[in-house]
Amino acid sequence: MVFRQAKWEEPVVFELSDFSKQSFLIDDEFVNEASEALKRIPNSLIRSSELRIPNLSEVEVVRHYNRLSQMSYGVDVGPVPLGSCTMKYNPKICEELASDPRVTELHPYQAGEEVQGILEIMYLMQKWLSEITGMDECSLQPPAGAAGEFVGALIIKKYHHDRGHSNKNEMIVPEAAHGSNPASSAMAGFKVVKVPTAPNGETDIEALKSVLSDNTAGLMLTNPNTLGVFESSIIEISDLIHEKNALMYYDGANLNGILGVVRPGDMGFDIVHLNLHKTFAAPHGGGGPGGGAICVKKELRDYLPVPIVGFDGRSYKLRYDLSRTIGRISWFYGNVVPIVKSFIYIATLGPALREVAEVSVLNTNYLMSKLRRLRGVSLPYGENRWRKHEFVVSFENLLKETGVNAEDVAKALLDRGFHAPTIYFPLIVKEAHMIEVTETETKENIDKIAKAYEEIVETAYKDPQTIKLSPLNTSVKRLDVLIANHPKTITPTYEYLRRLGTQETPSSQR
Amino acid sequence: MKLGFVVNPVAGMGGSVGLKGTDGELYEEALKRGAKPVAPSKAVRFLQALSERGFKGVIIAANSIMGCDYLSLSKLRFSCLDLPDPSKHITSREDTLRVVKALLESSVDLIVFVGGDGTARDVLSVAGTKIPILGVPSGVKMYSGVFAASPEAAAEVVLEFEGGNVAVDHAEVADVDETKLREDLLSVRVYGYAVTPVLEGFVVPSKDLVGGSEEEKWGIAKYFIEDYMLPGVLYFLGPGTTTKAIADLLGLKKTLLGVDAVYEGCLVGRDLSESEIISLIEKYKHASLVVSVIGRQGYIFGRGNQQFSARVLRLVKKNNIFVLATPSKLAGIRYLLVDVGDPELELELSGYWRIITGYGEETVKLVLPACCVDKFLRAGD
Amino acid sequence: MPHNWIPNSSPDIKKELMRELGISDVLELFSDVPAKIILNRNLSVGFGKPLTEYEVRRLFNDIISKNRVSSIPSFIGGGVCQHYVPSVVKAVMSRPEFYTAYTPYQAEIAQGLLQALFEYQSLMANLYGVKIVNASMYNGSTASAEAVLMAARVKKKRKVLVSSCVHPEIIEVIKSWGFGASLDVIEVQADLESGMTDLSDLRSKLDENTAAVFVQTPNFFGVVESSLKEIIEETHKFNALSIVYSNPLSLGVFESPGNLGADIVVGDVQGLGVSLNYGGPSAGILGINDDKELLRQLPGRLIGATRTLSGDELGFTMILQTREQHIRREKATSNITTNSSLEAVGAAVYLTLLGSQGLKKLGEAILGRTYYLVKRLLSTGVAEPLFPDSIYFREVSVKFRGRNAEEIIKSLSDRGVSVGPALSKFYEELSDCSLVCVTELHTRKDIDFLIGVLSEVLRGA
Repeated sequence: MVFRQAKWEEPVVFELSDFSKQSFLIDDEFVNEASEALKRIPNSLIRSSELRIPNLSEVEVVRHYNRLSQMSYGVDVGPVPLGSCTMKYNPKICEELASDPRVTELHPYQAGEEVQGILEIMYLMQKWLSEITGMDECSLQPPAGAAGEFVGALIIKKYHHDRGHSNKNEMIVPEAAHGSNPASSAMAGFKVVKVPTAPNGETDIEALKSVLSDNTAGLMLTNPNTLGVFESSIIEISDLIHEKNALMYYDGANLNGILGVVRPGDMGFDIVHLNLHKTFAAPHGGGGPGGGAICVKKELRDYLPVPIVGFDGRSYKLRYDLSRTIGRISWFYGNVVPIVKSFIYIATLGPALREVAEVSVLNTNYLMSKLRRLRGVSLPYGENRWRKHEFVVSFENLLKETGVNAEDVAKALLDRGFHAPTIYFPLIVKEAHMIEVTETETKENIDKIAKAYEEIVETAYKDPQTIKLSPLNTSVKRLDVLIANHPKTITPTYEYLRRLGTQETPSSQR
Repeated sequence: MKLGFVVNPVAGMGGSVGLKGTDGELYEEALKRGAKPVAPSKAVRFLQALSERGFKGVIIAANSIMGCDYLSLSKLRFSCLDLPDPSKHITSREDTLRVVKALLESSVDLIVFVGGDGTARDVLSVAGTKIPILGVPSGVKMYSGVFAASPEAAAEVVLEFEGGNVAVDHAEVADVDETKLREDLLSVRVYGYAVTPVLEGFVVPSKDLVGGSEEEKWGIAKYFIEDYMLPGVLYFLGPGTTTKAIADLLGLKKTLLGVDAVYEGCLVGRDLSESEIISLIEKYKHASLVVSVIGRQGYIFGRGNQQFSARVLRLVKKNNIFVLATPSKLAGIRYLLVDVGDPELELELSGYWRIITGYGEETVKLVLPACCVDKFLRAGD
Repeated sequence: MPHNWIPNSSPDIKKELMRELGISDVLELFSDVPAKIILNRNLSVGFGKPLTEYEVRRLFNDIISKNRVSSIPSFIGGGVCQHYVPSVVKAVMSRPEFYTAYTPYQAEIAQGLLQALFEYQSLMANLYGVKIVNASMYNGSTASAEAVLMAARVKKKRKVLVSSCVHPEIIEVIKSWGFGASLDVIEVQADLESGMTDLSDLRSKLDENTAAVFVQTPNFFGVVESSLKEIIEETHKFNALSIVYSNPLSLGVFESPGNLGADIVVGDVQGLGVSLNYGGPSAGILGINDDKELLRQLPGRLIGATRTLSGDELGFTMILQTREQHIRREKATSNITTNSSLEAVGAAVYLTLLGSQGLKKLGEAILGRTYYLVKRLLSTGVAEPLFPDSIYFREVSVKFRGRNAEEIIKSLSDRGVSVGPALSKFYEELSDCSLVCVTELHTRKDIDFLIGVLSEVLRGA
């Protein structure tokens, strides 16, 4: 497949105009009142330092950002098989309906009677997410998954604290877990105990048993795990944890692999967080905003962050009466726009949600069966097992035999018009590619991805240098990560760029 | 980048003919038995890989058979040291020492040597921790942590070093106790600590030479002091930089290579022998051992800390033994080993251990008895 | 149940895939799941069956029409207010390559998004007068919590002083987040006359154990903290870090907190091209004035400029990822991954539309309206600012002289004017007070109309 990404030598905005251009966006109606007001303000508080915000004409702004967008890549352009990110198609009806002014122009402090519509949507979402996860109650307040994890850790902490068990200060986390798990636990003040993965791809139960004690507060697990493998002993694990009066926390990042087929609540989990921008089709926005949700079994209902939405039979209300709440994790009530998008998504699919897991798992195993046959590629950990929605291959052999590593392969994929999967994660697999093809990919696209990998591997054996030169077809070629990070040359703003004296910005290259 | 390069032409010759090394008299014996040089081919492989991967720096090499001979065939830029021609005699440690001294004077950024533990020891004795060293494995004895996995892997590390994508960390340079060796007893000492490049993922270069891992060690030490150390207990700190960090934080001067004892914030013993350790245990009653993971193979007992003998271990209960290791130390090691010459004790000590791997962080690792590892391995381990 | 969004759910394709895998039932792929937990029913979510697009649109409309959006712009304040969102901003944020993209880990294919975020960082750094701003936090409240945690980590102290004039929900959020790190969050009293942070109470609470002092300006009451410089100076006397939360829309007129000496700055982009969204999402602004120690502890993503390996072109990439959670861990570092990139880009677009002059005009437009509102309130004699001599920007704390604010708000709402929130929601004793917000959206007629209706209500029964 021929792919050439757009390439604009698009200058940084600061170089596109001067700073003194007139702006015609704001009215002049209150100029007199403003100057009266300014007289009363102490001089030290009035801006005297120079503001260097460039002012572009409307057409320049539109062109600048459109060109930048052409040098970007999203699911609407092609597959983005990033493991554990669930980059599925973002349905346009969700986008359109969520941009309705009756959603976007609501003020969070409007009286309850005026916002019954949005409250109803949030209430239904709370209910639906409970049903999907097999839990009893949800709060939509966390603004993203990691915030949800933090809430989960705080709930566990407070739960034990309330019972006088402050000795329960250890959170068990798999070694292969996503880094936000131990980080969220540490933020909540827990010690983290990491348990290894057994050769079959599941958490090593014997290792787990060896660290279970009265000090165990909880276990944070994602199932399917980061290898895409289902923890088949999950019920036994839940029982072991509960025997120690500890809690089971489910990281919902990988829910796509079991959506509608299995529920975390039925596995024995007590707390679940969800990512609306993964499983529930809200867009990723280039890094956000996302939407999180946290769901719990009824024993923990009172610990949820406030407010949640309640219904008294007649009207919907924001409820603050959760007696043991961990408090607010954010101001207001949650990232409402992604919530609405997910609402439309779930409403549209309804019972067809089950197809999500069935097809994403089919798609994934289909691609996996093709990739593992390639030379230089191995499937560590349970190599004869099915995966669920994602799988991790290793290019360790390719590296040994040709010198081409996982990063090179990823860059070569870019050249063929595909976004690369997650690389070098999980840490327990060397030269890893963590691949997730969601249920929104067609068979043809999956075949194309497989073909691309095949071609890359063949080329690696014949002429490795070609692969090591990638990417060549993207807007820029491989970037120098060293000078990007070096304390002497780090450049996080335009000011730093100016001072570096490297004025060879694209515009001056002509 | 200036790369120092030295080859020990006799290293590795003993192995194929059943010798445990090629130092001194053993070399004569090896020749008698018909051994062929091994190091030169490793040297060539390393240089070839370096060239293929596009090394842009210049190599300062020892002359003749200790370096330059192998470079003339490659496309790499190099210059040769002006030293007495080693090909005229059987090379010995004096030659190695001479070369390393000259390399230091040429201000190289990294020294790559082709050889085994003996060569590593020689290089370290001159270079100290002033400059990182990296070994291309070509010896019989290779317990040290300064070796790459293969000549090609060494080339990869050098390239990443050139690109600034590596951290450097302390690594043990081990050596077999010569005297014990003749009595057929394997006893590995930690000869010293060198500084070696460590490949990690994204690394932020920092001011200190030993940036990344240093901070991790402080974290481990701080956590151990805050959460684990109790009054009324005597702590024996084993060799290594991680245990040394504990002493540093307590304001105590600990030996790097020896076992020191700490009681309630004071140093009550330095560089202790096995018998001294036992007397102290008898005196203080409550004792704990604090060790780190030694060498590439992941030994917690049996390499470099033989002072913690089977006798000592029997006096201290398993739950009074603490193991510390940075995550990078543990990376790639599937299980740890105990080797104390006492299978029953080794079996007792094996199982799942909690290793302290960071501030507020522990990692479970399987510890296996060196006597019978195979019995315990699961398929795929 | 095949669906259009799941192309391979069509039965023949499913069969073909299964054949390739040598299975006859999809459930074989779930053979490692304990049988008793596999659902043998459909989830009861949604509305009973898969819906067509026109059915879901209708359904949504039925529900959402139960919301009321007033015809004249809302006068409700409380940290967020109704501002204008230019169509260009909406257009740019609808570019699919931006909004359907993931975090730009593969820099070479994401140069556009990275450049847009780099520009956002640069624009905000200049606006707030600091050296470095990250690529966004979730929102202003979580940015505040993370700023406080960062300060505590850097100073290795647990005590943090937060002004009571800060938005009460932000204070709550700081406390919730601080619970894990065992922070000691102590509130500094408000001066009841001025509605500003009480300097003498601050002095009495500051000591060598203080990691940071957190203030907001304009604060929750709408009052401009005119002693901001003194607060920062006092903070520095004890070697603590000064954290200042500012409204970016005010910085065209007011001096930036960085230039007044703040070490850490926070804010929220709501109003800078980001709609109300019923409280979320928006994007949190977090910036620092030190590129050494604070930089190492700065949470969130950071974009940096660099060159290609071939040396000839400028490019952008994510930098300092070692700060991210998978590398180092002291107690209570941040865990943030997904943030609010899209909103940040929207804010950058708006800023470039405005320019320095425009931003100044915007600040003056809001300041002017606030001044006018206060003047009209006073002249009609029906209500007055709660803190009579203070300077207000955008929001005004209004006292309805002994009348119950919640009732007044309800009556106003019945007459088509939205005002609030009642301060009793946060402070029981202020039952006769409410916030009123004015922005560039309000015309003179709108404000006069508000005054008119208010007079009516206050004079009536």
